[in-house]
Amino acid sequence: MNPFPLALAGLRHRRGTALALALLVALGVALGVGVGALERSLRQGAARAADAFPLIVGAPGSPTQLVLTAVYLQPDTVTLVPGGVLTRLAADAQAAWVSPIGFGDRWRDKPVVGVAPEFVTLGGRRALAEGRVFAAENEAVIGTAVPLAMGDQLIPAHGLAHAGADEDDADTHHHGDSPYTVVGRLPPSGTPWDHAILVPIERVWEIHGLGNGHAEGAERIGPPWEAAQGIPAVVVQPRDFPGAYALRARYRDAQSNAVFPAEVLVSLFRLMGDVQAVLSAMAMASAVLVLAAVFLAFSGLVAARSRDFAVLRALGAPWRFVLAAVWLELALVLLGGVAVGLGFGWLGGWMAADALGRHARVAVTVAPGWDEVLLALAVLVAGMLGALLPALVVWRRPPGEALKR
Amino acid sequence: MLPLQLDGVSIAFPNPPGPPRIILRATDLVLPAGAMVGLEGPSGAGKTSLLHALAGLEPVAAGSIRWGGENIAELDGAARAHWRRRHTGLVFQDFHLIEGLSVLDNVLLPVWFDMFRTPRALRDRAKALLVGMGLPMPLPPLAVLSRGERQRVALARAVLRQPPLLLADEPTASLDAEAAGRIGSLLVDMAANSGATLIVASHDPHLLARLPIRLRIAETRLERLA
Amino acid sequence: MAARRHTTTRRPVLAAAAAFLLPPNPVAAAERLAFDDLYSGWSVMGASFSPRLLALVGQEAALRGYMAPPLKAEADFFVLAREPMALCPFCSSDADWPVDIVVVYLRRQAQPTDPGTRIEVVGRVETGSWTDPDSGFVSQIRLRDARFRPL
Repeated sequence: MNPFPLALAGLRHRRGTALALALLVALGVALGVGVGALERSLRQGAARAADAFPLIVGAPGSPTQLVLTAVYLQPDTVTLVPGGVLTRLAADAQAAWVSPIGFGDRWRDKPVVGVAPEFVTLGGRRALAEGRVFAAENEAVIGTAVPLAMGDQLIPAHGLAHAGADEDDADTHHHGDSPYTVVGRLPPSGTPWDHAILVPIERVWEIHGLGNGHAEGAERIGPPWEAAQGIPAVVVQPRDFPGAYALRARYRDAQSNAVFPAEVLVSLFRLMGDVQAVLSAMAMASAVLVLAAVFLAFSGLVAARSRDFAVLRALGAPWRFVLAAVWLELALVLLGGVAVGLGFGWLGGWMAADALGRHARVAVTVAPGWDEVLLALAVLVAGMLGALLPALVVWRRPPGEALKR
Repeated sequence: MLPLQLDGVSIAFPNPPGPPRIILRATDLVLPAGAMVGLEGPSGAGKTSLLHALAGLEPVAAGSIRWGGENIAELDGAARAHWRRRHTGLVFQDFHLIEGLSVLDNVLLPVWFDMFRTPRALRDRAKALLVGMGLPMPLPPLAVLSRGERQRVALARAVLRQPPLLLADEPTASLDAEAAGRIGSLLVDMAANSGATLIVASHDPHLLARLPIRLRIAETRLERLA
Repeated sequence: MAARRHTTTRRPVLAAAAAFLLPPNPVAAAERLAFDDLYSGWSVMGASFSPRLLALVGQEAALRGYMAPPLKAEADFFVLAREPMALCPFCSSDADWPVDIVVVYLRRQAQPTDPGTRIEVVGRVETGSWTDPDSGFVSQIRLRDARFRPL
């Protein structure tokens, strides 16, 4: 048997209604899919940005603020952690490497951050896209989104208040006279650090008249810092798992606070997850309502065509043919709606994620995920099972009546 | 090609809240294979109900309806559908074509009840039938066909698989005189050529005049006219 | 012990859909292991694995403990500890963080539970020094293809 031509004829004959029903299904599915995809991609983007920061040590205070400023480079004023903490951390046997995070200066709208060479390579795990790690105080490694080339020079401006201020603005306080020379470029990471300019922390201290962090006369780059000065944050790579927890515990005291960025993210995600659960439930409810509306509309459609079905039965169509034709018609509407809805949802989620990510300078990619496919499949399966009802109703009605008008 | 034998057939349908309405009471009838029968009677006398019962569309209250030995009165719904598919071609007053299907696909519709692919031979036969009935080629969309043309399409659908039994319910009632004459001729010629048993319920005296056997249903009785 | 499934507290509807569409986890005939069973001795050279642990290498085992604060967000691993990490600001017990931790690599990524919730983890036992290529962390005892449930 071949019920396809008949189902297609039904759809063709009432293509306006069929299209409207499919669109309704598509919107219901798109809402659920979009919300899910958006939330998941934001989580993944945010988590990926924190990958380079196993443990952050900052001044006592809000862990969330510490993570936002150090990991996501959101400008904010922070209390400095004393240099002694950095000195201790650098000498700690349980730390594989440590690096100060000395932000505060800017070049145009790009943050200039003082770090140790270990941070540039993540202790040897990250290869540069171009050039080499800085080896002198007046050298810089740039993120992939910084519009400079190897050998270019830059002079940073000071202060958050002047972020984005024009360089020849009279108020802008230019640091020193000697510029940085770009010697290397980081690979793209999809994080705010793509916009950062990494320079030796020693130079940042010096510019602020704090010495270079080393013993008198020493001109080294990197640890140990015998005369370390205060810094906004320190990133620490623990040697092993027990070390990670030991360091986190050891540097939680009156002078400093140690947090895993993941802790902060997970609690943020949990909050986001609660919001998402509410949104999901609403999306689910809307999908159910949409399905109900589609069934109502379709029952009307079937009733309007009851004469056609009576004719089929008069002509001797077996019950499975009539059932298949009615079911197929609704199933095709559902299938079209769900497929389009899946696409719409991902597209919508992607556009929203892109806009949000651009704002936070975090690359957010919405990849099609199984969660959304499952949601769409659930709607499809529920719909297709439900589609059997109108089909069975058609069979229940005796054919003679409809033929006699 | 199928002889018909009715034994004690009663037809009634429920008429709530009153008692069931009797259409036909304990009727016997024998028709030879290949008979051409006109069924007449006043409106509402039950011509359509009798035709539906003969086609196995509706169950009977009592009695047996034997087409060539097979009592369709004792078959269940699915078996009757199967029997109809094999043995009958139906023509209705209002054509009952499926909107949204092309003209050719309307003729081929019953083929899809059994087969996924339409055999070449049946497709060719459908085209030949439509051409033979004088439909314009290439076939226009269904929506632009006149009533007469639509009934010709319906007739082609009924005879596509050369059923031994052709049943028509007021096939000319909604057509103008010229179209009615044409359909009447086609119907009788088709049945004569294939040897099918033809039963036509009609008010149309011109059509009835071409059918050698005449039955009249009135007041729950079926009588044979001379 | 019923079929141990991932605790996915969010998206219950999807979890139900997944349970419907995916074959159920086989009920593991996992042997119950305790934190005291992991090591047999401590020396200047470090800890030595217990014979009981070594006998279970490559097999499924169940272990109860607490999820330590997450080291990575959206990760497929977590650290299982004998005791919950103190959330009390007056306690400094965190300073003597025990070394007998187990790193759990999940079969499927899941949301972390509350640090105060005791959980049971079932996974394939793996021992020996191993550096996670993604995080750079070294671990000694791992449970692979693991799933957990709150107790």
